[in-house]
Amino acid sequence: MFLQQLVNGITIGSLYSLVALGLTMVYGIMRVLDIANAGAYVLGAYLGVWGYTHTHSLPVALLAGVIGAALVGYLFQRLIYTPVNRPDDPIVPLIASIGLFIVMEDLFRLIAGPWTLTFPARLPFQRLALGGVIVTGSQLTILATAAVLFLLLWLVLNKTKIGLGWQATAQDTETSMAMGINTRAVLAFAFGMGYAFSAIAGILVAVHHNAVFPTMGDIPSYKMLAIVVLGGLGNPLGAILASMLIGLLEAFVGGYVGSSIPTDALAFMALIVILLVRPQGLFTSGGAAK
Amino acid sequence: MPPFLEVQNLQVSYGRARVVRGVSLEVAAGECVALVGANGAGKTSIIRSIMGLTPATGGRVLINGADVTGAPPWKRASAGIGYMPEGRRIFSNLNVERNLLVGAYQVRDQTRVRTSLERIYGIFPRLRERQSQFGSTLSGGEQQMLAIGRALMSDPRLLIIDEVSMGLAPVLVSQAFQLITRLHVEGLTILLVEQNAKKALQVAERGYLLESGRVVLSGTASDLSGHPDFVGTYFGRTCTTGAE
Repeated sequence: MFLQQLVNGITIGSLYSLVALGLTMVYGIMRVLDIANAGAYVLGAYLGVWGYTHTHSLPVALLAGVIGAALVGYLFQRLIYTPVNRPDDPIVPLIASIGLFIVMEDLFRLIAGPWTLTFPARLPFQRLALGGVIVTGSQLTILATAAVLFLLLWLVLNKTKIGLGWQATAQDTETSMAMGINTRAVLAFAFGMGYAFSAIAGILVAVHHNAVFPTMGDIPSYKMLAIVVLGGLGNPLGAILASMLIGLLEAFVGGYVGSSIPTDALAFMALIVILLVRPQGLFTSGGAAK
Repeated sequence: MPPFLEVQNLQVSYGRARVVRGVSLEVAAGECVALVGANGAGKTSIIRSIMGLTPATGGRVLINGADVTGAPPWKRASAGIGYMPEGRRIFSNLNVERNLLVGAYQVRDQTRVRTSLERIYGIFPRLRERQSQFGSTLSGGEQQMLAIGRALMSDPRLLIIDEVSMGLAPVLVSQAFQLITRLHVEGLTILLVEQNAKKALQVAERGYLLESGRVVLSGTASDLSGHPDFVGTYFGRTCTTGAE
């Protein structure tokens, strides 16, 4: 039971991480809480279904989701967030992001219909039984994909020029510009990568539950806020650790306590406790937590 | 040949407050020029406007003859300007080496980046010892070294130094000015912005004295430091002469 819940918790945490990373990377550089990032999660799922229906290839489905969501992220940043963003007034972009998310949900409903689509993808992994622990093919796919993406993100942030640009800009945009960093390009990278990560999470969840529907981004849209605040806003490592913490909490509470405590509320309960004892977030080093 | 940096009738305002009122100055290749004035005279606003961090409300900034008044800061940096901002502003959550690498962000040739890194470590051996330490753990003097080193990483044609002496102990101030002299002797063009006018004019060849957002005196360093208005400004007498 314990090991099973551990696997379940890490799987849920991995999915949360992918969405939370996008949100925290955008916040780190623009100080905008981008609710519409959850729209990329749904967009990814729809584009994934569309790509899979046409090719029966999960990599192609992932690619369709990544490209489409990254493009939307870039356009939102250039056309909406950059024009409305003011350092002294974070409410305007926050309201804009809520509006964008609502518009996206309604567009999904109008274009794809209000019903649930199935996503019966062939998975690269088979169900694995280790002693009493069962790891499904979709769980293995989620864990493997998340591991690859975490490694990729670490490499990008620590071994590439654009990653250095992101870290510098997240700390001090003005000085970064004066040092020759094209902060517009860094911003586009953060939005593109953030939306792409969310899209991948959306596809993986859609495959895991074999379901895609217009409102599937509702719970991630607010739960991710709790997670990124827990992890320390703008801190990618903090976002991953907080996601894992919430994923494990949900799995263990769901497994041992049952449905008497709603698992979707756990992130907020944890948030309230953390805000009382450590308002700067659990993990504030290594990022631009502000 | 045009001067490397030319500022023509620059005006800068913050809201309704005009802080720079028609400043013109130039720095020729190979020169060391000091921009001096009391606190609030507009020195940093001029530099920020030259770097593109504060938009000019009037006038022009030319680098090597090209008008960059509307260009973003990174384009100005790529035109060959190294910048040490007021207050150092090192990246506290990056280690020393990555702070330095930010300074070479626009350099594509990795061999050149390694060479610059070695050169900076040669100038500041202390930074080599601290290369994996986060910027936040450095002392004020070490942070100053890092800020200058970062500005030199791109091998700039013009180095702009804003208040190098700020917050440093007198012995470190002397060391900083010795370094600036050394860099200038090696051929680097320098625009030095300082409240410590006496020190700045010992290093510079020419200078501009600012007061209330205007250039009230300009000339060679020796002319400036002996000028009665310069002495008056720094020792309490009201300046009466217009720009020369």
